[in-house]
Amino acid sequence: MKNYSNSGWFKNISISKKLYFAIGVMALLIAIELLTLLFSINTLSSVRAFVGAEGLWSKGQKDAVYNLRKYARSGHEEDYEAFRYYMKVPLGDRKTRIEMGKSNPNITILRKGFIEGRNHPDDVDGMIKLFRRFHNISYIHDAIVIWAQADSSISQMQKSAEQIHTLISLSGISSPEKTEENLNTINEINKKLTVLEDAFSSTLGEGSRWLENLILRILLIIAITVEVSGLWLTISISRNISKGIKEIIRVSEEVGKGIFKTKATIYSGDEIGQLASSFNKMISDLERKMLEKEQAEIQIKEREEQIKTIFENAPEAVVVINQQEQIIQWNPRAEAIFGWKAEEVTGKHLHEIIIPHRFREAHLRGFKHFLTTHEGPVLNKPVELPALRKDNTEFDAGISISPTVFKGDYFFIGFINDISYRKTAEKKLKESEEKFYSIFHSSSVSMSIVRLSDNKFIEVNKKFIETIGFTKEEITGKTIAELGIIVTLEIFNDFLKTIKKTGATLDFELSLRNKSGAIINVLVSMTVMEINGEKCIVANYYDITEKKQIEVALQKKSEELEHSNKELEHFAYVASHDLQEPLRTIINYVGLFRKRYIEKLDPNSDEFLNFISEATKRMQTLIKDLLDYSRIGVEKNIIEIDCNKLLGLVLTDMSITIENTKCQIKWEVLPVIYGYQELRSLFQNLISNAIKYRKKDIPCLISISAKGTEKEWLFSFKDNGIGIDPKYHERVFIIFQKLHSQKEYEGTGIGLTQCKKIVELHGGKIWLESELGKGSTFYFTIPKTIQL
Amino acid sequence: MKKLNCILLIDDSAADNRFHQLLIEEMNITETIQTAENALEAIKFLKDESQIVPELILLDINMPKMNGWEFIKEYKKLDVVKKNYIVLIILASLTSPDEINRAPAIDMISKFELKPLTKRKLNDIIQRYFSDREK
Repeated sequence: MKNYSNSGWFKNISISKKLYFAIGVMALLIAIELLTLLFSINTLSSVRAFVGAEGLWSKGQKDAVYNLRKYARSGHEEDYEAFRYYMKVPLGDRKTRIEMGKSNPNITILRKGFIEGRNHPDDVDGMIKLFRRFHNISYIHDAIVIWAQADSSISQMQKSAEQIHTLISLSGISSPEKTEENLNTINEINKKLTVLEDAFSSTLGEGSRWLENLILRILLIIAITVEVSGLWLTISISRNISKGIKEIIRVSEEVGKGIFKTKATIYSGDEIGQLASSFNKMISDLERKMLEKEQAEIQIKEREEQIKTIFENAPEAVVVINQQEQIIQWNPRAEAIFGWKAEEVTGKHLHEIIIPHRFREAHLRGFKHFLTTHEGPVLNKPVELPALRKDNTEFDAGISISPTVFKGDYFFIGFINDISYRKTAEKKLKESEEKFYSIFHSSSVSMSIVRLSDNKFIEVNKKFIETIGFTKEEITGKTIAELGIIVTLEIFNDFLKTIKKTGATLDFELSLRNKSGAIINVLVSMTVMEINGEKCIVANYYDITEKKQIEVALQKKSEELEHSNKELEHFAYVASHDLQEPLRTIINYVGLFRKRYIEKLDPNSDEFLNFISEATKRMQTLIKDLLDYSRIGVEKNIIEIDCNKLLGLVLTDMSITIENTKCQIKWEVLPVIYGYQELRSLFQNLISNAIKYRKKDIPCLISISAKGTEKEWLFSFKDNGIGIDPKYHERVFIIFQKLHSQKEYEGTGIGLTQCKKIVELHGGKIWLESELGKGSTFYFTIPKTIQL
Repeated sequence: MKKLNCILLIDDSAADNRFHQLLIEEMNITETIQTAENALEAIKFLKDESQIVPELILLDINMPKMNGWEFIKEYKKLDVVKKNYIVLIILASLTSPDEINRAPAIDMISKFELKPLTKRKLNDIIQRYFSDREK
């Protein structure tokens, strides 16, 4: 439809409308031509009337002048009246001209003026129309201008005539000079008017000729237009019709040749176009139907092939016999099972081929019985019967026969299978089941079989009966819940759900209660198995009661250990706290004693008091250190530690010592690690040791570094101090072990012991490399992953 | 009973040394008392030919630098004429039973005494090891 919708509405209208349209156009053009003709005749008639009017005007004016002259000589009043009578003509026309000049002229005045000008009443309307329509056309315009000039001359003439009349009325014709003078004036005017009258006529004449010419041309153009358009319409309509019809003829010829792909081009929306479109629809319908037919044929063919394939590849022998018990179909599987080729058996009677001799008579009886009664006890269900091979051997056949009626005759379709292997498998299964039961019953592990569908015990073994205490009769046929041997039934039900989903569960713990009420802890494994065609849960129960008891004992011991550890911690706290009390008392009273009585005592007493207070202070320090030591690892929080920041904090704490001793401490960028907050004490102890055991004669230098391996961080604290003899390397880590006397180096000898405990808390190691006099390097490792 | 010539006290604790010294002085059982605040110092003293040889040595065990046991090892090596006349007694704080058991195994040691030293303990020592040294 698209190809013509854009090419104009005309194409899409019906043929009859097109013809009406063509005739209508012609009639309209002819009507226009006639109207033009009428108009031009009217106009020309008006021009003629105007020319006539001019004649009347001129005659009136000339007659008026004649009568005025006559009056001037005779002095008779009737002559003057005649003059006035004739003057009415130009004056009447003048009225119309003046009224015409107004923007909104009065038609009555116009008509009255022209009628006073002695024009024929029938011409008056045409004259007015001409005047109004064409006053802008140069010819008419010029004529009107001339008319206006003539009117002004008429006014002058009127005036002169009135002067003559006044003169004669007063003094008669006694003064002919004056009269003559006036007559001369009138003559002058008369002459002028004659010229104007000629100009008016010639102008109008010229105008009418121009108009005639114009009208002639218009008429000619219209006539040509009528001819040309009539011709064009006829050609175009007939052409379109024949084009559409030719297209339909072409397409119908192609369809006749069987080419359905072709389509008629639709050139228009008229009857021809509709015909083409219907034709196209018809073709596509035809094509679709042809295609459908083809596809249906293909489908039928495919289905036939499918059936053939199924028939040929069926896993069972398919044998079809007719009402006469003759074999009509014999598939390859039948060939394989029976050893007969299809061509060997087709047309033969079935009983001669596959029925063992001893059953043939019965078979034929049964066959006849069916045909008469339509009753067949072996039809439409699987039966197991012996069958005969080509080599005369028999086998167990699984047979299923369906009778079917086709065109009034019975056919029997038999599906036959060699089931001898199945029989063997059944036998094997039975053996295997027997084997399973023998193992089941002789197992030293408790075992049970529970039906999956209703959770009831089917079978239990000897060991199970021994363990649970119920007899076999008491157990079988009951569910686990009914028997009441499960302590926590909810847990067991969860396990049942799991096993129904997954088919097996392994080693879950369960507490059973036996008949006498004793609790037996078992590890249960369950598997879903098919036994005698039913899905069952086979469970074995491994007695772990003893193992469980050991576990409980172990758990108890471990709790005791934890308890005693806690007590120890508590002891350390109490000891450190409560032991400080008496020490403070000693210090206080020694101080008091010294202050009050020192003067009264002998010189030794001061020394003794010093010994007392120093020993006490030392005791306080020892206790405090011991407390600190015991507290290492109490807070078990592993935190992220930026060792650079940690070192910064430690150095700030020790800043006074570092400044006083002028120690120089250098370090490389340290890692961010995970560890316990005690790392701070570790850093502090190692640095303060390095400072404490510096050489007095050289500047103290400490360098700290760390590097990471795959599993741990290795830190080193190196100093240039007094060093340690290798034979003491182990001793330095033992609590309260000192290599120097109190006098030489103060301290309790617990610092490095703390370090060791802290490193070991992280699961790391601490050691040192040092020689006497050559400085020391302490190394320790912190694992990247800390085991709690 | 004749006074001893010299008693050597080896103990890192100045307080203990002083206390023992005062106790011994009070009992008036010796002419001189030598004190050493560490075992090395004591070895040095014993090696010094110019110094008087002590008849009784009271030895502490837990000492820095060189402890009592290490002193005994060094002491064995000493070539001291009168070493056989020196009575070496360990005078120590309560330590582990293991250490107490170690002492009798060393023939150099005459006795193992626990601090604090008392007049009675000293009298026993004198009675037991020096009663035969009349004149």
